[in-house]
Amino acid sequence: MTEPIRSPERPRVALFELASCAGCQLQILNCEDELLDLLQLVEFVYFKEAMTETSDSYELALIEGAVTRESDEEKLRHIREKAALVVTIGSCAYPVGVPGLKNAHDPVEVGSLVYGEDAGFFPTIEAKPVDAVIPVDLHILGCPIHKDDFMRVLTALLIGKNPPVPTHAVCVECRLKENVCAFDRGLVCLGPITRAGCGALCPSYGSRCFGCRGLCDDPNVASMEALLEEKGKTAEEIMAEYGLYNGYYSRRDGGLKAKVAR
Amino acid sequence: MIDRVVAKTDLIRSIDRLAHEQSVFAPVANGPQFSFKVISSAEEVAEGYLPTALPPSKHLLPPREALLRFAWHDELAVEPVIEATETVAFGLRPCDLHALELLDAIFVDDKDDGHYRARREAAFFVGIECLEPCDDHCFCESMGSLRADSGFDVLLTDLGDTYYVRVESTKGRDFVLAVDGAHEAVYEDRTRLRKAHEGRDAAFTPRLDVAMEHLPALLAESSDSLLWDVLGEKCLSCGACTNVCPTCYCFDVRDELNLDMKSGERVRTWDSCQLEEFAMVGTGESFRKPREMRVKHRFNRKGRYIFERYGRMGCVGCGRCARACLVDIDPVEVFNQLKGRPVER
Amino acid sequence: MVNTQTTPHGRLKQSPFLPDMAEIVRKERLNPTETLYVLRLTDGAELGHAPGQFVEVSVFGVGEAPFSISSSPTRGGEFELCIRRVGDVTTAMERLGIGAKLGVRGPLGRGFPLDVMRGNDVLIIAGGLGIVPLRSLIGTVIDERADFAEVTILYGCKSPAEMLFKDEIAAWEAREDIDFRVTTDIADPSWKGNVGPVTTLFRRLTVNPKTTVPVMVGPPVMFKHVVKQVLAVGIPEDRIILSLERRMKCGIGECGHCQINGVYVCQDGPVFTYAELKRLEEAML
Repeated sequence: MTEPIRSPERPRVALFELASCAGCQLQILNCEDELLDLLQLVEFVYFKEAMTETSDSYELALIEGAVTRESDEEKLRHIREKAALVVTIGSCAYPVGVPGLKNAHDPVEVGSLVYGEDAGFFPTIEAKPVDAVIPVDLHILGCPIHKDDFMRVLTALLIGKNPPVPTHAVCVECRLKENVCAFDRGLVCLGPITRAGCGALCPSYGSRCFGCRGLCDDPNVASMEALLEEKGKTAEEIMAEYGLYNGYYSRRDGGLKAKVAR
Repeated sequence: MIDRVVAKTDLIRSIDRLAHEQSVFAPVANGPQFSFKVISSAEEVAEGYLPTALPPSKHLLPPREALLRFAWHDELAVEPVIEATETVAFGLRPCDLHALELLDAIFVDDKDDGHYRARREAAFFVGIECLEPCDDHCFCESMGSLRADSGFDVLLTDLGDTYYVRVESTKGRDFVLAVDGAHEAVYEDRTRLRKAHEGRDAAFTPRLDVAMEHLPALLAESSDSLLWDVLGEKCLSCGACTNVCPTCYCFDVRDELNLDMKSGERVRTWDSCQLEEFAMVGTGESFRKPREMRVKHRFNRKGRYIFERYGRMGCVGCGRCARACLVDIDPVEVFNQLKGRPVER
Repeated sequence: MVNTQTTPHGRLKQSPFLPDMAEIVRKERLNPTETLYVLRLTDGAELGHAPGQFVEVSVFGVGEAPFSISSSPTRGGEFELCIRRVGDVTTAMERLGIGAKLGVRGPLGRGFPLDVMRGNDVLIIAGGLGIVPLRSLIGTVIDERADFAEVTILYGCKSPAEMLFKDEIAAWEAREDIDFRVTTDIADPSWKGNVGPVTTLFRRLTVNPKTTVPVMVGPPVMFKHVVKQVLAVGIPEDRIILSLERRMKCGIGECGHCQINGVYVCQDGPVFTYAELKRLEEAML
């Protein structure tokens, strides 16, 4: 991870999309002020939202979206073979955000709800994070990713250091913003157990944390659940609260003792 | 120096003038809480405020500051970033003044940290006395920080429609003389000040069961207390307590590279001993991994370690950590339980 | 390079974080993970360190990390760091070539108490990477050999492959005026020497508790056992010398990362007496 990807001089980057809204790709395109600098550093060889040319030769693969089809798994294994470095972008790829909501329901029901009579033409599987299929070198987190985070990761990879992934909770950043705590605004908030790095974006705009970046390194889940219960949440409501972004792992591990992104 | 008395309206007008001319840093309301901000007019200043969300120390030791700038052109060039803006900090409470004096003792007197010192030298402190407790969380009286005797240029005491102004520096004298209608304090003014102080002394009662000077010994004896385990189970390790603490100053240092890959900054950012990574070494071993050890470390810094090193308490009783804690970890309860009140799980 | 600016008040504004510049004079790969770096300050000044002190080394753009100084100040001019590749800074250093510029802050911290050792028997106990700072002390003891009475060096490592400074070790072993013993936890077919932890070497020594100053650097588990042994032979607590590893970030007792209870390892240490540490539960002794 700490070897710089500086050969060739401008590493080739391919951006692949699985089940997602493509919002994270747009975040990269939104880097208007930095785009020219960015293109000095890397060469994009595949980027569906931005260009028509394609290439199957690249050093860095960026993957957006969740695995929802068997063909996705095939595609990922091919990418893993080609790329020196595989980096996911956004919550769909890790820890499986919105695409994972269907996992809580009967797959046949979900299929006919979305595709009606044609459901048979669209066979889907349980929504999975990318790292459930192939080894991933790094997750750029968030729904959507933050462009500054993306740039920081890229420069770190290029100079050859571990990208700065916060290990602590969103609260740390939220307090620095001097926000009125969501709990003091009568809301519940997943900030105390969710990995920071977003600059407490949602709480800073009057909302609260939904956990889109997954768990922080050392979450005190027991104390968090006690806090949510104290705020009047039932066990089902707490699981639903986690489920929006952390459903895949929390269902697997029977609680929020979920796998943690590093 | 000669104390003065000014009409409140005159002082506010003076602050307003200053705010138009230079950087004035004052408490401003933000919903139910308050924050120190650079104001553009005196209207923004909140009166009778609770301790601010973040302490005013953020002006002297910002949550993020560049320490060095580096660039590779023909060769590597590195230079320190030492920048300061002349700033009036208006409305500092005695608890915060005590905390700032501690930071001065560390960053100026002991470490001679030029980054901090430049901002400290460019700062002018207007303190304001507390005449009644701000809420149930404050315990400044127990921590010896209800009364400020130093660490300010001028100290205001609210006497109704006037402020009594204690002047402690030549800058302070110039400040007060620039206020319209400022007059020398006379016997009647001093009497009113004494009355205000008597009222204050009656309004505050100590909340700790242990005298401040016995806290270091109490903490030293309490290393094996069951209480730490109880607190470790509750603590979310969210770092709220250390971020809001006016005496917390631990930091991280890291390099940030610009997109040109040819220049960047070495930055200092606030850090917290409550986070697992804080005491981790290069090989990945954390020397304070269990949560209860981290909680214990914080209370020991507040009530013992800093005192042992600098002769000043690492806690000023402002109550910010207790207000911020989602799971109700309150230093008053912690110290009192260590002193012998029953521990509740 | 600007390193000071004058304030309107005429005082110097200084940054304790501004490093001096040094260049890599020589690099030697000692084994797959450790490399020896020979550095020289670019302004030609001596580092002026004492054995046991450390420096903060900057690779700009990557970061800064603390390393103990491995060469003896008696050798002058250049100084040496022996660095295991574990993180960003150490990995970045491996990519740098001869002549590359690094930032160096230091020497920092409190070194080994040479004044306590002079005239006494010196018992040096190194575990694993502990040999790195102790090599600085060993060099000084050899160069000023007449100042010390009996000199014994015990060195334990995980495997023969992990043994550092093999040529120098051969020279120490060959000396008549030093009792050097080495052991390894796991032998390999080529290994003819002792097998077992460093405590097994200690057991075979005759130590005079009145005149011996034990100096040990190694992993926490080694401290636990060796301290027990030297206490058992009657060496007083305030004459047992240890050097600790913690996360020294600022190196000047500000940032809080290396704190052990109330003690700053970067400033009060990294060298301590056992008497200073034994009541500190976070010292993990």
